[in-house]
Amino acid sequence: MGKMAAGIGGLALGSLLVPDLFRGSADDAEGLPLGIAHFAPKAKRVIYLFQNGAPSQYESFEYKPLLNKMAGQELPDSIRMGQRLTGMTASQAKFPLVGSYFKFAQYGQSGMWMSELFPNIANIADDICMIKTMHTEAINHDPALTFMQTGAQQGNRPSMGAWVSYGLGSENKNLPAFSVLLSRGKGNGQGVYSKLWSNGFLDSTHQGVVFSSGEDPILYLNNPANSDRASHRKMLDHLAELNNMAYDDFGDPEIKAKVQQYEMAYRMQTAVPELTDLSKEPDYIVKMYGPECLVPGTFAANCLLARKLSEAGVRFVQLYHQGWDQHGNLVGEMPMQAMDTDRASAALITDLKQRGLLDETLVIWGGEFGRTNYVQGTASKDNYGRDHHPRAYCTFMAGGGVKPGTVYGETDDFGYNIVKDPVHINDFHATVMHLMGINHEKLTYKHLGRRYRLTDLAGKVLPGLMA
Amino acid sequence: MSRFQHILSYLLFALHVLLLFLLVFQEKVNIPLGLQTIGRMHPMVLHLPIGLLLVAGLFWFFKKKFEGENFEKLLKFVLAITAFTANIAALMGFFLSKEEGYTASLLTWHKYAGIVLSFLCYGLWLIDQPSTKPRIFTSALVLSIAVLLITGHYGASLTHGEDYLFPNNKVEADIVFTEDSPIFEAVIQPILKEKCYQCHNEQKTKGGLLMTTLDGLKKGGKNGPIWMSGNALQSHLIERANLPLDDKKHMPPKGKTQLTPEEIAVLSAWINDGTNTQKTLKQLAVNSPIKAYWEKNKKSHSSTPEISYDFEPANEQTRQKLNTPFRVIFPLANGSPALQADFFVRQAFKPEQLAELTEIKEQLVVLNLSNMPIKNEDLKTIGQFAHLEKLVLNNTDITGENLSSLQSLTNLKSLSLSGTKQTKNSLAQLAKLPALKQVFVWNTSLTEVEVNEIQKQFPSIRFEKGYIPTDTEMLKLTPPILENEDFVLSKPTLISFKHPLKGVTIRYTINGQQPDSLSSPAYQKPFELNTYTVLKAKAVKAHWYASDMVEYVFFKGKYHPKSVELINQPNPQYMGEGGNTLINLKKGDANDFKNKAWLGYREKPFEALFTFDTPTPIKSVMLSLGRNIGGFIFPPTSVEIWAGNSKSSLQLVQKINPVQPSKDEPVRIDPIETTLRAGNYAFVKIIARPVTKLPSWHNGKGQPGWVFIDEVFFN
Repeated sequence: MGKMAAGIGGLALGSLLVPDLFRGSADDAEGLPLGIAHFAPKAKRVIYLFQNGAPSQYESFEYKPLLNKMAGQELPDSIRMGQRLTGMTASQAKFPLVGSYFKFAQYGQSGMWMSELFPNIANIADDICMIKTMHTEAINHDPALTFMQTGAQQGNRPSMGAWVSYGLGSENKNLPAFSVLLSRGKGNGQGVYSKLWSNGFLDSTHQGVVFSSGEDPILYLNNPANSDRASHRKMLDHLAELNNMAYDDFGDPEIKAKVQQYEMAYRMQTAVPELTDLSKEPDYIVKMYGPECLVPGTFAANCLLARKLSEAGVRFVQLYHQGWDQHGNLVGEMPMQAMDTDRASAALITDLKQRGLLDETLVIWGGEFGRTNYVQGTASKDNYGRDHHPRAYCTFMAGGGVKPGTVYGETDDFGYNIVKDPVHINDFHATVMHLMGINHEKLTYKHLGRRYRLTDLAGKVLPGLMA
Repeated sequence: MSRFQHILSYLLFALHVLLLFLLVFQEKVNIPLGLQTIGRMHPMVLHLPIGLLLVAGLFWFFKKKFEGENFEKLLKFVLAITAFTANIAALMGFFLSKEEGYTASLLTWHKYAGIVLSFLCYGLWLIDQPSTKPRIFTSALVLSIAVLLITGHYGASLTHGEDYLFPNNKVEADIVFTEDSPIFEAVIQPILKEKCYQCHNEQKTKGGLLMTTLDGLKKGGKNGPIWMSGNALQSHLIERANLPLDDKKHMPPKGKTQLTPEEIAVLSAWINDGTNTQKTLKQLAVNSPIKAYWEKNKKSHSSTPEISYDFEPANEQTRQKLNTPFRVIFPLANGSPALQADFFVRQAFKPEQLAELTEIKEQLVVLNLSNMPIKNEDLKTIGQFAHLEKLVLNNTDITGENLSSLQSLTNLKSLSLSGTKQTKNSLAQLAKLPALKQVFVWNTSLTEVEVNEIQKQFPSIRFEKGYIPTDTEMLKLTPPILENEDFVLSKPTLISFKHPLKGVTIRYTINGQQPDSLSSPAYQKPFELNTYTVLKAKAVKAHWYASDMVEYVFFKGKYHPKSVELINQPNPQYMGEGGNTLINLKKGDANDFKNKAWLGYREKPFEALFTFDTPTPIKSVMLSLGRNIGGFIFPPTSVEIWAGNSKSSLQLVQKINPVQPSKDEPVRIDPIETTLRAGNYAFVKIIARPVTKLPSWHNGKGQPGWVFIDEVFFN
């Protein structure tokens, strides 16, 4: 008996060294520590300029002169190959092709084709990697957006930014690691919903924080009247004590998350005023981003703020610019949308570059799917619309370890099907994670009895996109 | 049994259970920092059981010399201490093994041998009265000493390196392959080396197949040649790789590292291409899978640089101690000794926070001080961080002096100086930095000409100039911003404008005319309005195009109806707040017709009855309408005003037909004023009819149009 006891003593001593012995397997990234890159990252931060509504590739970056030649002719069945249609064109008897109303030219050393609507992005052709072959399974905005942002069409999964926050943690503990900025153009728009920047099943500290589009990006930064910082500090300390007591009783991790959020809010009081301070910027920064950058809530203002957030160590800045859903009046709306985004997008990339930050910041520009090469409804002499097209669309990236001045992938002469180097959304996610120093297969979270990851059961890293 | 022996027996049992337990759960064990130190004492303690076991062996060998009643006692005592120290050494070794950086295969051998040894020593001690069973004891002792030698050998190999004992003079140089290298050497051999050589080499030639030499490969194994040039699918090599994993003939055998599909594709492509051992990568077609594979793997060797640093990692406690919300220090990647330090929040910066980093000066590779109040003298501190590769000093307070303090940074590759004061001389000091590749000098006090000069002087360094504005590039200003939010004048009201850009002039008119850039009044300070006014304004500035014009309508109502009754209900989507919407003095935004301030009519005409307390001398009625031509919101085709002093005896007092647009127009508030025949009225009924068929030039031709109304004023 005595020896048994000694043996048990030995076991007990050993069990002290195995923290998870009785808790089942660890939830963390399969033995890889959280909060640190799995391997040396090329991109430390991401700025995702999401073009919500699906900008037409044919009037932006996909030059298909055949469509102009064949304008009005029917899309051959051999090309369409039974592609399903949205409710908006399903009853359409004819699918007449239509070419771009806008002119194209070649730019940069790689001779990248760009439409006249994007003169500033054309000027930085040598800094960007243009993907022609993004493709998705969704055909309507909500599932497509959700897929693009969370790796699944149904929602309730963590957004890309939340995964990055979970995997790499926050660089600057005084600002939310995942920040969301919204703007809206004059074109036909589609909504954005908070599920797109959801933390899903991850801890709510990883949730995207939406900045206000008013003059103060963060509201209620000042202490209330008759309360100074010291008393505020005291209040938070006592509140944390109470919360910790509640945590001891219930063990709900959300209580801990709340305490952390209060603490961050406290530190944000000093960190945020520096973000909105333009005194360190030269006057001509306004010319660079365009004068709208001084008008809060515009895409240009959000680009400038995104640069400042990213410069201040925010891991993932997610912008959404609405208004790209040109089912009709494409010729009228697309120039306005392009005008809103072209200058500021290019300025953001140039601005990061001139500060030595572009090599560690990944900028992504694109929508949730493409548009059809045929007309929705009927085309007039100088106007038309295009429906949703999931089989191929354009997205470009810059900085953060992507191959600059390159075009990746090819579509057929109709721009309808991919003929070379497809980039599925899962592959795209895997590659972005790889650039961030994360093995997308190893960053997992156990939920409802199985491990989840951003790419779930698919996704491969595409070396061709990387420098 | 003595008390000492008694306690020892318990202790040894417990310790061996612990050892066994840790072995079973070794993957999950997490060693706290304190135990790491104990683990590091392994090299000290391990010599005790070595010595003691040998002493016990000597005792036993020379037992005749010590014969006496105390011999067994003494032997047992030595064995007990041996077993104890062996176990402790094994435990410590186990802790130490959790630290990284040991060759895995050597470590495994050493670990298991050590644990076996500990148990053997324990077993030796457990043998009761060894003298009575000398054969058993002798063989156990010899076995223990043999295991001791094995353990010791692997342990020594771990610390001194495998070729310490028998130095191997052959040095395998790292061969660098280029586009001109034969595919066979650059791509095929590395795959075979990794996946096949283990069983098909000079020592071990399974199936008679030698794969390490070209001759061996060409000869093949006992089943003949392993490839058939030009026919991959018929080649043994590919055939076997494609067999199911459970098939006996599948290669590499189950349990060994398998060929990836990509590798099989590469091998197949090479066989199909004719197994030419001289063909170079350059000669391959652009879309060849071999080329893609080579590109990818070359990349993962060269530019996913698991750059190895030869300095020691910093103490984790030191790193944690230095970490604050405003100074974040983190390793570049998991397991890397290289650290990055970022500073945040200018207000929170104190100079000593930079000096404190000297504790990790060896490990600091990236330092980001952007926007911090760094002074010239702080550069001296930075000069001590000898391994720094990237330094960001954007928007700091440095002025170009003391930049020579950075000359000690011989590893510095990238230096960001944007937003600081620099001169040509200050930058010239940097040219001595041997590793420097790029310097960011946007928005410094240097002119473009000066940067070009310095670039010419130091061509090996890239000086990034960034965006430089030109006066020839003209942009359009954003419109002025009206600060007033209330467009109904209930009293004399000050109107004020602002514009976010410095140096902008705001030109405006209140007479309905278009403001121009020269003669219209320039806005200086807030001005007063007290009557119905159409205010038009635009922003102008030298070297900028004038902004779009903005137009605001200020309304004024003298008489307020008591109540409103909507005779026709609005479209259910645009119900506003019922009839009250029209007299609540809340104006709608012309860009937001979904707002509750608006009533929208399409199928039925707008028809509402306004009731006053007493008969009122109304001379004019002002309808505030919305206009969004693209959005199907047109002016009404007709507006009728019926008035009277009882509900039942209303008379048509005015009817107008507003002008219809002939093309698309900007969205705006559209006031329509009608003057009435003089008279006092207690009831006023207004009817406004939407367009029934939109004109043919419009997108929605033939469909009905909308009328939107948010307020009605009586004067």
